[in-house]
Amino acid sequence: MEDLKLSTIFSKKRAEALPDDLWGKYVLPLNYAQYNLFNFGNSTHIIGGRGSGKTMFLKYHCFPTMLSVNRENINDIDLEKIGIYWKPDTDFLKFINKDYLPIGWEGIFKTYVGLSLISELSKFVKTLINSNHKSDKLKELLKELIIPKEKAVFLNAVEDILLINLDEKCEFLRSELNDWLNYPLDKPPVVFAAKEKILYLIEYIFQKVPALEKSCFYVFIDEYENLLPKQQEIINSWMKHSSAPLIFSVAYKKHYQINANTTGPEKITRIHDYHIIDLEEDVYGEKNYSILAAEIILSNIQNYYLQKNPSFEKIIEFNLSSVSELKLRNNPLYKRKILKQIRDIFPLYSTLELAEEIFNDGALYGKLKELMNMRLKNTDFKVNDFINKDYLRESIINASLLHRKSKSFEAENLKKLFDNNSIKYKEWVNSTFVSTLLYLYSTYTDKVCPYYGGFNRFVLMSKNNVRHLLELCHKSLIHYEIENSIIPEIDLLYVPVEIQAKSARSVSREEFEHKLPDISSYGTKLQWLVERLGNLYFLSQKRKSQSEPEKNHFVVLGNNIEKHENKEIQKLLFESKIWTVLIAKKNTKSKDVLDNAFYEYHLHPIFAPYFQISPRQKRKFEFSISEFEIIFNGDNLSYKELYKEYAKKWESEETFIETKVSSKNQSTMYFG
Amino acid sequence: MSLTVNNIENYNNMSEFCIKEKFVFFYGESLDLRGKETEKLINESSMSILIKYIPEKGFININSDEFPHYMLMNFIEKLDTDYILIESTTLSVAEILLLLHYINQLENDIKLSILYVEPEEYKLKDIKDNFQEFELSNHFEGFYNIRPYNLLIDSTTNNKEKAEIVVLLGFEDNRIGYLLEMDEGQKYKSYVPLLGLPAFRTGWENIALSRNIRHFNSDFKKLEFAGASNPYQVMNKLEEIKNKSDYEKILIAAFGTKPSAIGTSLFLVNNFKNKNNKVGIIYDFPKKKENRTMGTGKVYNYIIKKQ
Repeated sequence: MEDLKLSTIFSKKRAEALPDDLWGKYVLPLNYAQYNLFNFGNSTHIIGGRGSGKTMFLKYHCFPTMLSVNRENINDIDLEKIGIYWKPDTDFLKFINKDYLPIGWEGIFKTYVGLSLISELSKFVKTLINSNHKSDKLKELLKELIIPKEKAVFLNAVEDILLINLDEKCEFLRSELNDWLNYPLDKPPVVFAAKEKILYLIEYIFQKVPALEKSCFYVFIDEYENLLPKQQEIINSWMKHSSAPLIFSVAYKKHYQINANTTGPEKITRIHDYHIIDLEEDVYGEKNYSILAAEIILSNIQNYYLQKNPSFEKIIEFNLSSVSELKLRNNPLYKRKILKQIRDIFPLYSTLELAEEIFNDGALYGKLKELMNMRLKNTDFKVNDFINKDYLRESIINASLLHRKSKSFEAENLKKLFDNNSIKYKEWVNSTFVSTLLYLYSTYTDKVCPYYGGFNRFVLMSKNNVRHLLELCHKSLIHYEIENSIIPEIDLLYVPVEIQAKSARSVSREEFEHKLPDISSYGTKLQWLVERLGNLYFLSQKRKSQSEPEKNHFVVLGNNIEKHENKEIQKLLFESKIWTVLIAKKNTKSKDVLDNAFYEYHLHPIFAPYFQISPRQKRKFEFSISEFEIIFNGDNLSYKELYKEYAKKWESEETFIETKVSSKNQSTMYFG
Repeated sequence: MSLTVNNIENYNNMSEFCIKEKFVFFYGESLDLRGKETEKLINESSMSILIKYIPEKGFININSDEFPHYMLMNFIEKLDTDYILIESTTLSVAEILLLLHYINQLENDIKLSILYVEPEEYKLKDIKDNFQEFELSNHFEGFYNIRPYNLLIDSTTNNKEKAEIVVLLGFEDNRIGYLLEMDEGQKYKSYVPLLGLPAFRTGWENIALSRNIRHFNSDFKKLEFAGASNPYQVMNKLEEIKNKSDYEKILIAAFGTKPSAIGTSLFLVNNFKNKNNKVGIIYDFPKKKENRTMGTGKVYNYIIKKQ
């Protein structure tokens, strides 16, 4: 335990890296009761972006977690809803199609699903036997429950077989099926209708085990989008007619357009056949996400202290995986307490503190004065006329205000407003302070704006993405541990804002330079798109006047670009949404009658520190359709012209961020 | 039966390489000068066969006819020849693997060799411009198994039945990144990087290493080496990795050099089992650009022997 590091606790970022049993590890979102997947009597489509925690959410509902050995008090009621998680081997599925198997591919697909789910059914029984369910009688019954050979003939059974051994039998048959697919000319080793046979087995179990007769099995198929369309149709047919005791549900990435066909003439329809749970929008929501984030981070930190010292006094006493404790966690006092605790560990600077940082840093202060001086050199005013140590934030934004063209910002007029502490400054600080701050820091490549540090900022930048959130904490704690060899008691633990901001920059760089190109076969194109948008936003940020608040999203005026006729553009837009590089929101806020854009597209704020732009959602870019086309599909020359046009229009400094993408000698070679 | 590299002949250029006996020639689509140079063998052969694997369908295209990969066995059986020459420069690992797989199943002994022409130089694209053209991007659609070297591993598979993945490192870091990102730990529980060393040219190993280092994480200590132009070494190294692995299944991502793809194919063929096979391959079939290499370097003829 000596070597245990606090940062290491945060390094397991994916559900797949964790065991199937998530009891005590999974933090239930506070409004979970509404979205409990067992509440529904028909199919559910669970959607969410990359890193949103779909797999964790599904696995929480499944038997390895619900019947976990770490869970006490498992009762008969817990056996009424049984979740089964299944993620198919999509490489394997690529060969189950009409081309490769002209006759009977559907049967082979169903058999593969059937063998896998019957195997899970058998594992469920084993897990129940090993669980803390109190009935020994039930466990004995299950241990000895035999499936007679005549009932398991479809599994090539030649003798009676124990239900708990069915998984080995299925694994053997899955392997046989895989071997057969190498040379699929003979009769397949096993073929059966999956849904019917699973129901047949379930009914048999119900007859023999009264404690399970009320049970309903919920099958959750993960990464549904990776099934071939014709395979999806089979699953759709099962979903269309899903009801107790066997309900099929699926999970897929948000924005994926599902194939609604079934194997028959009908289609599956929302509400009638299934409902959608959007993990990020519905389950987390803007409000609940910060509590969820605080609980996730604190429970990880708590685990560290508990591992170091088992008698550590817990900061969160609740079992975060338990439905029965949700009510207690919804208590405002508890919420306030944990938010305070997390903000103590990951503090942020107030705007006043951020302003003080500028004045305490010689270089930044010098840059501030230089910026003012540019506008004052031919006037009777001096820089000190616009600096007042009692009004630091106002003094800082003066550097931007002086660069504005309107008469009221001329030195003489502004000076009067400044001296009179005009009420207008309140609004100007709100709209201009952060952008001026970011501008000042961006003039030095080695300085990172501390605005990116703090729990609240981590929540803002991770934007409902638990993976980003954990990475921000992980990186911060790594940097913290480099500078602090000893982790103090929890009450004294706080990660300096500068370390957090530096870490946020590093996570942002990692996400842009390395993770983005890896996320799909379209990754490199997405990276270029982010580079183009990020640089335009940065260009806007480099306007000395900061005449508009921070820009990090865009609309395309008068056009529904979702229906753009160019297939390449459509594909790139689709991929950028699927991978949550861009977040599309219905354009509902606009008051401008000319602004009839359909959607706003937000660059994911995790990229903000890399491009030194604001993660806050403020003012939008309004692109014309031709500008949009250049950004999404134009050649370099056209983009460069567009970039220069904007630089000229805004009188902005052209400081194209030399990204790894643009500066490295990108080779297009493969070994050959 | 198993296959091994019995001898490696090397020549300074293609004009030095000649075959006096009758042979059947398997080759692929030519993309650069190296491919063009080997085309002379088409005329010299008693029969030349243009072959291409279609990953989306698991089919083989032979002289414009398409059929499922397993029909290759019938095709090879019917060849009236004592000598098969496979021109690997123009083929991908899929065609090489399938040819070796089905040739190994032939009952009669046959002379077999694999030709490979090194490039004089790879084209490294120097982007001086700040902005890259989208069209310059190399593109790959996703990963495919190559049957019969497929391992079925899904969420139902027990952890102990999951695979160790051996990645033969190339110059393209995104290929590994994408592979690991897509899998998210479902199939591969452990990752072994295998670097071509000695490389084709001194220093090229550093390019492969530096481009891939970010994927190593704690697996850095597992880094293994085998000569980039030596299939024999690669084959033996993979055997060694398999023998010391804690995992029953080994999956190989052959992103390295063509000789390493030959070594991989030999390893896979030698370890293949008709029932419950434990060795597999995954490949992304990149769309290679024309004239991506310059000139021709050394010519190797790997003499393969059945044991």
